[in-house]
Amino acid sequence: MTTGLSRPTAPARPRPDPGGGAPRRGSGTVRRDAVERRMARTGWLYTAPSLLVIGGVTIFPIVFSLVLSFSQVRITYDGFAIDALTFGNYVALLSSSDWYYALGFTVFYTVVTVAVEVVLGTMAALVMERLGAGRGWIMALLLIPWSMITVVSAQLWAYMYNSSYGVITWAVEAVTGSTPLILGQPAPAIGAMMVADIWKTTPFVAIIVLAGLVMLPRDVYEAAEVDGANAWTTFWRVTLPQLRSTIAVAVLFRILQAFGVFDLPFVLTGGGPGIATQSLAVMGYKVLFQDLNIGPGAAVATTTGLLVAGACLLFLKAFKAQVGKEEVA
Amino acid sequence: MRLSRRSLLAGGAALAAASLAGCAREAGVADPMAGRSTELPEEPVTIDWLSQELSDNEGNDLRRTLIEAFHKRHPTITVRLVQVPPTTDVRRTTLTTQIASGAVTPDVYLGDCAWPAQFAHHSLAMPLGMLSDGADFWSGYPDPIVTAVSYEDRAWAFPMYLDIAFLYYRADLLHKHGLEPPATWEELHRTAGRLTEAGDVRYGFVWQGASSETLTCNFAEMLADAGGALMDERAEEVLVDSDAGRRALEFMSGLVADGVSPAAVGTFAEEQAMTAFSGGQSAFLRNWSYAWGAANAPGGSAVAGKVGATLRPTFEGSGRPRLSTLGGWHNFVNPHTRHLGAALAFARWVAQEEAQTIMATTSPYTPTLSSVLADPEVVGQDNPTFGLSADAEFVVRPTQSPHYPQISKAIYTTANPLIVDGGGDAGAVLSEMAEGMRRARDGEAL
Repeated sequence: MTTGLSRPTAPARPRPDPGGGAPRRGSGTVRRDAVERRMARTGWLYTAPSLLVIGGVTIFPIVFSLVLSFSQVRITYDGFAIDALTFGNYVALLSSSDWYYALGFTVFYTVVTVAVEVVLGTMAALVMERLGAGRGWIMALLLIPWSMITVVSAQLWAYMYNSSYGVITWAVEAVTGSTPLILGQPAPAIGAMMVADIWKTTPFVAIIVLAGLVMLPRDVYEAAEVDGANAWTTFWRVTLPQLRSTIAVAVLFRILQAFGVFDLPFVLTGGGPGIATQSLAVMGYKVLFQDLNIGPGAAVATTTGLLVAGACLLFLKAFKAQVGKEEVA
Repeated sequence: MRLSRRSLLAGGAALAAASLAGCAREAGVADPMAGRSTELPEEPVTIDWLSQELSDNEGNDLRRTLIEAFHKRHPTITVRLVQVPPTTDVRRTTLTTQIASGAVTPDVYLGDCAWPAQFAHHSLAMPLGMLSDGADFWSGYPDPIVTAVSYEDRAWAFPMYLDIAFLYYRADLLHKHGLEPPATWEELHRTAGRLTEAGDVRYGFVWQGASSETLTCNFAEMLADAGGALMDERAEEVLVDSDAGRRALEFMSGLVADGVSPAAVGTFAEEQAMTAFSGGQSAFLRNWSYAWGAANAPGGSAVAGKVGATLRPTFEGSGRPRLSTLGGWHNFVNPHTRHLGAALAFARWVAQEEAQTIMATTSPYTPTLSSVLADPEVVGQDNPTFGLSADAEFVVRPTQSPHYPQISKAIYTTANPLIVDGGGDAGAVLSEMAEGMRRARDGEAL
């Protein structure tokens, strides 16, 4: 979308005259400027519909939510009424132990699941790269969890974890002799939710890493072999450094998704037991739409957005610094 | 059927008068009723009714039966059903977002009896007039129901059906051991122990201890059995941190610790407890009115025909038996409706004699109108819950507070771990619960 915006406008800017300091040759330049201006206008005209849509469905809601987060909001028979501008919503947030818990839980959940998924996904991709004829089939199989709607897969996991008829409960009972309450106690519920997420999104990481793997140049491997590097060294010194940018893309996507996780806890645990699996997104939903606490709810949404944007920027910066250092070396 | 057209008209007229009088009061607050006609439409109109599925005794849709009967009486009004999300919380979210953003439909929606204060506070329901002005109309319903549908002395919903909590028991097993249904919780504890020891059932007693509204209902009842209360009647003072609170909590966690209830009750909502009981796994079940039908459903229940129902027992030495949390569903009117007259007429009609009688005689839903509930024809049916309902005493949750959802959350999130763990420091839990409830009441809880 940004290209659509910048391309037509770029030529409209005055260009340095190639003749350098020579007097303008009047009408020709004027005509060209006029043509460029007309083209720019046409460009704006063509992009206007999509700009309007983006403004309407993305920019406006974000700005409105930001305004709400600084407002004392009341629902009246005539719609939302903003009584006053205030920092109160953020104060309420910062003095709420539930919010700190949700923040801690979301960060913990993101770090653990993304880390595990990257390791497992990379391992799966390495195996798949070696596969010959069966690779297509394996990839299709692997994509099943990823392609399943989370609401459905979360419900399936909920059945398996169920404390009276769940197959996992039964299996644990058969091994340990006591009936576990998987979704009824905080630590097992958090673990159970992570397992469901890792099961679902590891394939996503695997596919992206596999795409990176097959594009790696062969000659580097040949050189490594000539130099007498074993498989272990080859992986750490040759494969992994070249895969960095691919893995970075996968991690970035996963952080964005994991930090905003909503559907999985909503269906699997409802954020419970208590608030044990209440992510920031679930908390925002409950505060906004169940309790109709519009201002504080908007503050939850805004801070979540800012935090995830900050986390991604930080990650990208760290990643770039790392790559830069290696290139110099 | 003892239905007189005159009583219908009288009720309607009283309410219309009440509505109009209600508008005149409380100047300063924009009243959605002001300047709008509450007359019945002369031109044909169609209104949307959002209601969960309600099956009658034959498995047919009770809602359609009611709609047809209403259409016969008011041929100009067609009522159309709206599909609803499955759970109460999701349904509430759908309604709040839809109505807060000014949607004109659904015109009428069936809502939980815990909603009126919150919905009134946030302008999501049409005020139906001052209670005092409609005194004749409202005197037809039990006081706790009138309290539940009111907020700041106005009515916000027309009562449709009641939900009462009963103790369901395996009559066959009690008979086999020569036992009676327990009159106290202590007796239930002993009886359940005997039945599980004899190997007749896996669990003694299943109820709802999941970290959700349902635990608040279960705890409120136990607390009332022990002589306590969550808050005062106006939902202002927090009373939960008391000896009664301790007795109730310790008994509930003790049920798990002593093996009378499985630790899984800490994850049970109505559905899971129902499944355990109708699957023949438990001797006793605490559940709402609908459970009678579910437990006796041929094909759907392993214990069909072997079940008895009674009002809930109480604690030894406590003088308050037969208590039940007040539950039920009532029809609200969307303040943005384009067909106010028709919407009011339908919501009101469902609360009155004709509809209430149809419901009571053909379906398992307990009518709210006292005269219908006392009707011998209704009481005499196969379903014993109707006959027992008239004797029930109600425990009203502090739903009078517009912050009730947060208050309830403070209750169930603190009580749940104690039940899952089968014990702990009940005193500490109660003071944490009370603190959370006070913060919620003051609107400080997120």
